[in-house]
Amino acid sequence: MASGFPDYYSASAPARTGLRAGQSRWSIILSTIIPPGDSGLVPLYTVPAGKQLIMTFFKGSKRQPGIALGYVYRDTAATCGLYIDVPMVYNTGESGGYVFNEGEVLGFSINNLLSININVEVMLQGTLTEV
Amino acid sequence: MKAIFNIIITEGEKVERKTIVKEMEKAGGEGSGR
Repeated sequence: MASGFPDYYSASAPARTGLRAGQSRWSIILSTIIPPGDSGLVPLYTVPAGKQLIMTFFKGSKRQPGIALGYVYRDTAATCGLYIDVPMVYNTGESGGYVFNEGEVLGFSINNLLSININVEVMLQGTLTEV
Repeated sequence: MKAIFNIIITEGEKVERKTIVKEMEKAGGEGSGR
């Protein structure tokens, strides 16, 4: 495969497979256990000075069946979201082009609608570009 | 209740690992955001 990833990673390969000078791959992997009925927003990443982040893909999964909600935040405002369920149930990822400029804080919140603890894994991918 | 977030951030060749302990709130249901 042209991106250098094995075929079984194709569903999570970055949308942008080639990099030019001044660009680098960017990713966040988050894992947590959320108590029943709880939610919370955590700041994950502040875009450094002189850089721009283009988040191109995100997905979430968990080990217990049932829906949880995930939201990607720009500072204090939700900018996109996804359902989080067990793997293989359906596609819980989304690709797009969400731009975060220098100084903006990318955060993630998880909303556990179930009455049990949930083990959640979330992956965000994108490209950092010098501006 | 508190939740522990284990995070791995990759920027090119640089990998940073961090842990955030967050005091959680009660979820308000679908569409309520956080």
